[in-house]
Amino acid sequence: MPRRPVVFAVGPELDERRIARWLPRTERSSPVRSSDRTLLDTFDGRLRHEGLVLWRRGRGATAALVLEGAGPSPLSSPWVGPAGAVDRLLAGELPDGVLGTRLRVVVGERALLPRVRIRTRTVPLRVCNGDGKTVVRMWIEEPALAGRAAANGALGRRLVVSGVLGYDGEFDRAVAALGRRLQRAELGLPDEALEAAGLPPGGFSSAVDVPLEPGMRADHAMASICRRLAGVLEVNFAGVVADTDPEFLHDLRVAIRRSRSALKDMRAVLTPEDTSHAREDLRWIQEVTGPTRDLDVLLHEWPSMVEPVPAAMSGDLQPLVDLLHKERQTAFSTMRRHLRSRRYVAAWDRWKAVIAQPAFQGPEAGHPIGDMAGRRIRAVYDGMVKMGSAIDESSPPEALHDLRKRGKELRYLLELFGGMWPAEHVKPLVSTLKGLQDELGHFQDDEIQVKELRSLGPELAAAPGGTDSLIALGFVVEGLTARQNQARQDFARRFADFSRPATRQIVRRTFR
Amino acid sequence: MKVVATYNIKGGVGKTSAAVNLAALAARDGFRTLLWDLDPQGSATYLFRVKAKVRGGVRKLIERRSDLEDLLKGTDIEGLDLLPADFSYRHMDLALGDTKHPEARLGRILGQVADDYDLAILDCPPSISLVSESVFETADALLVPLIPATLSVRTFEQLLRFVQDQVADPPDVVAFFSMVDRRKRLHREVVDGLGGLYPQVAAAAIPASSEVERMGVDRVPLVVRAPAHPAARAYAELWQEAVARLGLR
Repeated sequence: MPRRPVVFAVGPELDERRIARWLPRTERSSPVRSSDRTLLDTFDGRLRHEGLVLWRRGRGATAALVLEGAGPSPLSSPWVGPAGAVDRLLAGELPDGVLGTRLRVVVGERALLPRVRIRTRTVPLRVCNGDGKTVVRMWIEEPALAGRAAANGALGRRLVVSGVLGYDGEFDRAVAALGRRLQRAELGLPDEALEAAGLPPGGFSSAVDVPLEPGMRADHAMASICRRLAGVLEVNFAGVVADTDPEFLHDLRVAIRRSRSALKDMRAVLTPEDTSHAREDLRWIQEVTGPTRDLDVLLHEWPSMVEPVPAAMSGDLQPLVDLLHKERQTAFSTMRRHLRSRRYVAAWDRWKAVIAQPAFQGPEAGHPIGDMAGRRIRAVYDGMVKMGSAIDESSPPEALHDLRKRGKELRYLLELFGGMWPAEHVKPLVSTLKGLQDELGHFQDDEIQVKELRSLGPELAAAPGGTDSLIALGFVVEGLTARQNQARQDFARRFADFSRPATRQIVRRTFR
Repeated sequence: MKVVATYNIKGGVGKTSAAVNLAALAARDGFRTLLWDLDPQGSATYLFRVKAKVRGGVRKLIERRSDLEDLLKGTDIEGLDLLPADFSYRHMDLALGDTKHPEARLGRILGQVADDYDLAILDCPPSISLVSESVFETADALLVPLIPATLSVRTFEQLLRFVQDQVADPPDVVAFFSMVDRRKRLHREVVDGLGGLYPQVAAAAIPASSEVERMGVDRVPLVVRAPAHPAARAYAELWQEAVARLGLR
């Protein structure tokens, strides 16, 4: 594998003649060229986190996707999207082949979005050996932001030195000679361009990661957390109403649920006037976004849900798939109307006003957050142990649903406040809780999905091909019911792990 | 990784010229391409200005005691790497004969870098031997240059029969006319007549040209040095046809 390219930051005075003085047999390898490329990544920077850089290069018939960082040489594939400027690219729209396969694994359900557009003037150079063979590639890059961020100006000029397979010695000598005279560039071109355009190089994170100290005033801690969660909602809002990809809605809803959970668990930090409106407003936002999310989950899980359907009948499901997409579109339109309504604007403004207060006035506003959160974590855990222990084979499904709700509460408490305690105590608890929640989640999601699918029965029956589709749907529902039964059977094992004496002891000792 | 071999039992029919130019076109189109110069004469290696030397020689390579990645050389064309020739390749038959399952051996060697390349092009020596049998077992497709002459046609028929009868998993065969001089009546007759007879024969035909021969002087693939030249355009047409026929995309 050739060495990784080395990048030097260079001034305007550096040209090939000067480089040739330092590195004999350096010459222009081809004419100066200009390129126009757009950096693509997901909203949360998944490619960058994997060390990958994806460009859309060129325009029209010659446009291509080029992926760097996935192997010794870049992968490329002809562009398959629309001819004009790209606004998003979903996994299903990626080209077949190595590049598409590699990208699909990383991006999952997230859309690839244009992050920044760069125009570059490139002077291609090479170092040759005595046979006139290229042994080191180099190029001087003069990049500048293009498109909407163009006003932010030129980016740093750079000299990129790239190895040729089988000529490592020549590469090392070239880098050493240049390194005696030039400084390495601190940032890669993608990061420098993103920073210049005012975008976070690593993408937008929906993690809360608010640093807390156990002795911190509870109202200060709550204000920081709620403001951060409001920020998460706001950066995801545009992606939700534009229906960019399903993760925007997921992250928005998680921010709302975490805010509601924090409000409930720390209600004594705020005044009743503050909390009563806020709890109602946030509950409403969660409600109006629920149906779209349920259908997103159903469509995402569809491939695994149809596994029990005999291959010969799988085509019969098409009317049902069409109907599900139609339902999802209807749900989305309703949700978007709500999110653009005056009611939403008023609700959000009220919540922003609450969390913008310099100090909260609740009776326990000045208490240390460590004590309050620890007490609450222990109480919710103990409550779950009590609820779960009362569940047996005869318990109604609602008992498991209620336990899942409490589990979510505990999970949010640990996510928001768990950083104040040693990770070696918190992580095992989060892990065992996650195992239990996954099982309860399967149980409840499968029930919701069965209900959703059954509700489509009458409309499906009236559709062309609907009767065959209904028969095939029977296999789907049967599969979901079997899966739900399995989840119920597995519950006991997961709960035993969650409530075993060692875990209880960790909770008692840690969260005093 | 798809494996395509330029093959003909006869020498001097344009195998190396085709291999070198098609490899350059593949790299230009974004295929991560490896060219393996199997011919001990090392013409393809010479054209890329690389020393015809493989550390450890043919035995170490065939016995897979060499790390293939250490033997590869980048060319002047980005995306195109070369596994060079070595004069010891003249004994490749013997080295293969000393191994178990010699016919599968070249495929196993290439398997070491299968994830790193989309396409491997094998430039074969002119012979029918254990090396060519191993190539037939390894390749997904054979690209067969044909001089427009009656005897070439007979040789092509023999090859088709051999591949169908003797190879367990026969590769696709795509033939193309090479060194075509349309001023010659015989060339015109053979090219125009055979195209309709054999579905394996590509529509693209490479004209005889001193520019193709000049590659040995300039040591640059024609499609890079003079992409507008009729012969370079013919290679480009052949490449497009190969992509479509062999499902290379």
